Amino acid sequence: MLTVAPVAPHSNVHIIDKNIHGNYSGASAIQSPPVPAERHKHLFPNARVPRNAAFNPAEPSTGAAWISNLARQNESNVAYNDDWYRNRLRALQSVDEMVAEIGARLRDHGILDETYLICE
Amino acid sequence: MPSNRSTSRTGNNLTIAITTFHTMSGLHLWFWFLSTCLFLYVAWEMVLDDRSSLQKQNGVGTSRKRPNIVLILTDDQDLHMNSMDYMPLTRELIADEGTEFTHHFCTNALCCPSRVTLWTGKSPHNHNVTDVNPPHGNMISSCSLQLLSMSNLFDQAGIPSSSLKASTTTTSPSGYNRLATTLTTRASSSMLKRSQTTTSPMPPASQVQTSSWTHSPTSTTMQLSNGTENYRYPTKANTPPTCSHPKPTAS
Repeated sequence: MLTVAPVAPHSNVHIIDKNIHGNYSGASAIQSPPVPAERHKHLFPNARVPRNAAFNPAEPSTGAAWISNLARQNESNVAYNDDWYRNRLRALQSVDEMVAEIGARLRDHGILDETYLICE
Repeated sequence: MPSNRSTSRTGNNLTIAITTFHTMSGLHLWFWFLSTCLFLYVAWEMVLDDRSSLQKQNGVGTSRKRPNIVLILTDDQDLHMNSMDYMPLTRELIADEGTEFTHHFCTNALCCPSRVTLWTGKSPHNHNVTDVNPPHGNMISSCSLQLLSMSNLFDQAGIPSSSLKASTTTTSPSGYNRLATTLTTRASSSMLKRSQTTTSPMPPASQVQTSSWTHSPTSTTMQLSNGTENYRYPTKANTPPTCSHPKPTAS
């Protein structure tokens, strides 16, 4: 069994040493958008978070409290999230290539048909 | 029993779930997801099925190889925002040729609890990893439990297991690796001790020894950015969102 856990498309984590004080906490790091590979940075310039019915509704959701109590996002927030979303999709391209390469190698070794490939 | 090992498993090779992992980084509530024990269950059933088949086939003088298992785990990926539309290679290899679990869901919208559920088959309120920061979660719990739980199950089934933490992006190239290594090393010993004394991989908060969760900083923001472009918010970082929602009233 082999487990492959790529960092992508996780956010970029910046550790702040001075906020650790012996223990790591939520204040010990700040997050910035995922960093795509150089060859993928130009992709999907128009991608944005899907504007479905549940997107930033004018009326609060009737769901769980942590959702229904969320403030509506202003344009800056929406633009920020769209930018994040794009970079996450770009970072995912490396994962996509990795999965394909794993499949190709298994096939080259003649063991693809006796391998369970689980992508979670 | 050595025997014919060439029996093919054509058509049975791929299993997939297009679901994803996720860490809800507190500021970014538009993430979700994820994963869990379904896969552990599915994978385990596969192993049992294979062992059973092996025994049956041994009875009639034939045998076949035990399957290999490759588990690929992403973090912060989404399903409902259509990320799979942007992964054509994965879709072609796994979803199109295999199985897509469209009703799969995660037990928790946080990375660490969800990961540990995957490794252990337990819900977060049972395995007690309920956060992404110590003392009730972080890479410690994820990495060490990955090593201790799921892999051990497969070891017991006679399937050699190994763990690979692969970096496929330029995200925090050096700092990330060193940090993960540091935490994993420390976690392994502490979690191993716990695994010998308790059925729950995480102790109650009252029993957490702070020293267990201490880590030595191995990098700084300056090192991580390495002189390359630092991300800048498109607007003022501290601009609060406009709140147009009324306060909920008690009904």
